Formats: sequence, C-alpha cells, structure tokens
Amino acid sequence: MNDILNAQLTIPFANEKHAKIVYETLRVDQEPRKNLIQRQLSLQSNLLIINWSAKESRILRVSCQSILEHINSILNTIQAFELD
Amino acid sequence: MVTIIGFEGSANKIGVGIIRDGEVLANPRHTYVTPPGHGFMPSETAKHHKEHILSLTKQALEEAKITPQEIDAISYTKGPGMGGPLLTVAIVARTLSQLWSKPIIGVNHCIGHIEMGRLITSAKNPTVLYVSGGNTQVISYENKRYRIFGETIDIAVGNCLDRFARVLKLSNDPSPGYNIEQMAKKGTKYLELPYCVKGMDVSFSGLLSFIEQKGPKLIQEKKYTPEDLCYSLQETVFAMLVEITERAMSHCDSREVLIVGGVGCNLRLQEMMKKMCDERNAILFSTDDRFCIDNGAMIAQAGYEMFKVGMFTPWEKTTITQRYRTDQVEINWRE
Ligand SMILES: Nc1ncnc2c1ncn2[C@@H]1O[C@H](COP(=O)(O)OP(=O)(O)OP(=O)(O)O)[C@@H](O)[C@H]1O
Ligand SMILES: [Mg+2]
Repeated sequence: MNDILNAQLTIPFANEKHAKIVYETLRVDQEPRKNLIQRQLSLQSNLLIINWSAKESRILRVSCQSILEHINSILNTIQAFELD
Repeated sequence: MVTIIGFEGSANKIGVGIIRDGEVLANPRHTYVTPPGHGFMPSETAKHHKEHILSLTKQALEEAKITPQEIDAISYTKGPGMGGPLLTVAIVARTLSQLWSKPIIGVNHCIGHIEMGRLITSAKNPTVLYVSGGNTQVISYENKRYRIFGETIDIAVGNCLDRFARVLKLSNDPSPGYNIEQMAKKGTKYLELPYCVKGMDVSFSGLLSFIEQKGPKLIQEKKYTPEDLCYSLQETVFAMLVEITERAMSHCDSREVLIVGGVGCNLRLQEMMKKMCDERNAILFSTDDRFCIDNGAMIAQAGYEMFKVGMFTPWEKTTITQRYRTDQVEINWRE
C-alpha cells in the first residue's frame, strides 16, 4: 500500500477581506476524485491555509497547481473590479 | 428595472452579456479558434477564457454604460460543458459576486439558449430544436419543464459537422460549421449518406464514420468535390432534424418552431425548416449568430427569468457540473 502524501500551503494576502474572498471562492468546489485526494481550506485573518493529503503524487501536484492558478485568477479579478 | 450580467464559457467561446428588462445592453464574446484539423482541448480552452474574461467584462460594462452597482445579480453557466472552462468562469463569477455584493445564479446552458431564442423572437410556446456542438434535442414546454422529445443517441449534429470539417482541414474561424455552410453552397452532386432516424431520436455517428472513411477517397478520385460532400452532409443531417421536429410538432399540435444553438444560424437548415413549417401552417423562429452561438446575454436572460422568481443559487451550490440535462430545471417563470 502507498503512503499518504501530504502538502501544506500558507498564503498571505494583502488584507483579511481578500483572504476571505479567496477562501469563500475556493471552498465551494470538491476535489473530483475524493477517494484519492482530500483538501482542506482554512482561514486565519489574512492567511489562507491549504492542507492536502493524497494517495498519488501526480494527483497532488495537479491539485496544488490548479489551486494556485485559481488564486491567481481571483486576485486578478479583485484587482480589476474591487469597488472603492 | 432589473439588470443582470451573464458569463458563458462552457465550450470554446467566452462571452459576457448584460440584459436589462429584455434589452441586450452589451454582449461581447471571444472565440478560441484552433488550427485547421484540430479540435479544442479543455485546459487550453480554460486558459483562453482566463485571458479574456476580465477584459470582456470591462468591455461589457462600458458598452452597456453601467457601473457594477447597477447590476442586480450575476449569472454564470453551471453546465453542461467542459469542466475546466466552466470552472474558470464560475470562479470569476463567485469573486465578482463577493466584490460587488450581488446574488449569484447558476444557469443551465441549454435553458440559456432557449430563453434567449424566446426573447429575441417573441415565440410564445414553440417546439424547440436545440442544435449545437454538444447537443441535439427537440424540446417542448409542458408543466414547468422543458421536456426532451427527441435527441441524438450518440454525437451532436454540430460535432458531426465539426469533425468532418477537420477531415477536410477547413478553417475553424469563425467556426467549422460556418465554413461547411459556405462550401455547401457550391456543392451540386449529391452523395447518398446513411440517414438514421429512430422514432423521435437521431444518430449521426454512423454517417460520420461513413463520410470520414469514404470522403477523402472520393475526393482523391475526383468523383466528388469537397463542396459536394459538404452539401450532401448538410442535406442529410438537416433532413433528419426537420423530420424529428415535425414529428414532435404533430405530437404536441404545435404551430411554432424555434431553432436555437450554434448550428441554428445555418441558413440552409432554416430554409428547410421553413418549408416544413409552411406546409403545416406553422411559423419558424430563428436568430442570427450573435444570439444562437454561445454568448453571455443568453446566460443573463435565463438569469433574469430566474431572478424574477427568486431562483438564486445558494453559495454552496455555485459549483459547476459537466452533465446537466435540460429537463432537470424547474421552469418556475413560465405558466
Ligand atoms: N453557420 C453554421 N452552420 C452550421 N453550424 C454552425 C454554424 N455556425 C456555427 N455552427 C456550429 O455550432 C456549434 C457551436 O454551437 P454553440 O455556440 O451553441 O456552442 P457549443 O459549444 O456547441 O455549446 P453547447 O452544445 O453546450 O450548446 C459548432 O458545432 C459550430 O460548428
Ligand atoms: Mg451552446
């Protein structure tokens, strides 16, 4: 049996509001293959903490990469359309 | 006054539309065009949408001459479609919903096509032929549902056209179906192709493999031109579509036909359907490429109807789903 692989990311944002928007946007989606990978999100003031545990390294890397891409897209949207 | 912004990106087009009480204020769109011979893949398509969605949103707001504050709700395509592209768009919609403090509405793409067609044409209670790259359905409204009367049992008609366009290495700009249509106008010699209607349903995969296999050889031997094959393909598949539409009409005793979806802007299909309608004393309604090809306004319009009856999407449900049937949605906004 394979070992469980873990990854953790702690990402700081400019402020709590931005961190909350990123958190709320990402928490909606489930990992497509729940039996192979689990992902937990949590919010601590302006920090977003993401924990993964997976059975396959490839799936883990794909999930990490796609989360980072989504965060990038959320930040671009905030930058373009945040109301003053 | 109700103003809705709609985001569509379920396939290779990304569109942002703004609708205010039945008026299209803006509807810009950008298409991911692949080289001749190639289809579009999910991850490249998602990347394309990501690159264009924010500038299209800016453009839509400018053209509509409105500020985000004037928007009442944000609607986005929940499905059906390709996972990656759908998610890319949903993520931007969720972000905007929070930035602007607006409710969010997840829309069924097929319902978007139907509601846009109804808005533009004012058709009252039509039998709907929905024909696109991913769907082929004959639909009729009954008791708060769009019921699927007949559909393809394998590939969609648009997919059949697109894949034959790939065999001929036709340009995908603006769409393979459009270029098949232009070629077909110059075709004269008809090749008999497998015609497959089963009751209310149609099948295109046998026809496609037949023409994919025989086509290149017939062209090489100079028995048929590529134009002849495009012409024969169109005549055959459109005749099948007219047949099942007519069958649904006589079942429902309907006097109206509405064609929606990307293949619906094909003028030859409209002409053949019109002929059938004339014979039955019925009226044909159709729209042009601005509204029948995937666009943001159609998602805004379905969102508008849903807004008016309070069909908001709870935050936890603002997901995407690759499969989402037309008849899964309760149509609370119709009598
Ligand atoms: N003039 C035309 N004649 C025939 N087919 C056309 C024409 N213009 C576009 N199409 C076809 O329409 C299809 C695109 O339809 P549409 O924009 O509704 O999106 P789609 O990606 O197929 O989405 P869905 O199936 O989810 O509705 C493609 O197959 C394209 O080749
Ligand atoms: Mg479509």
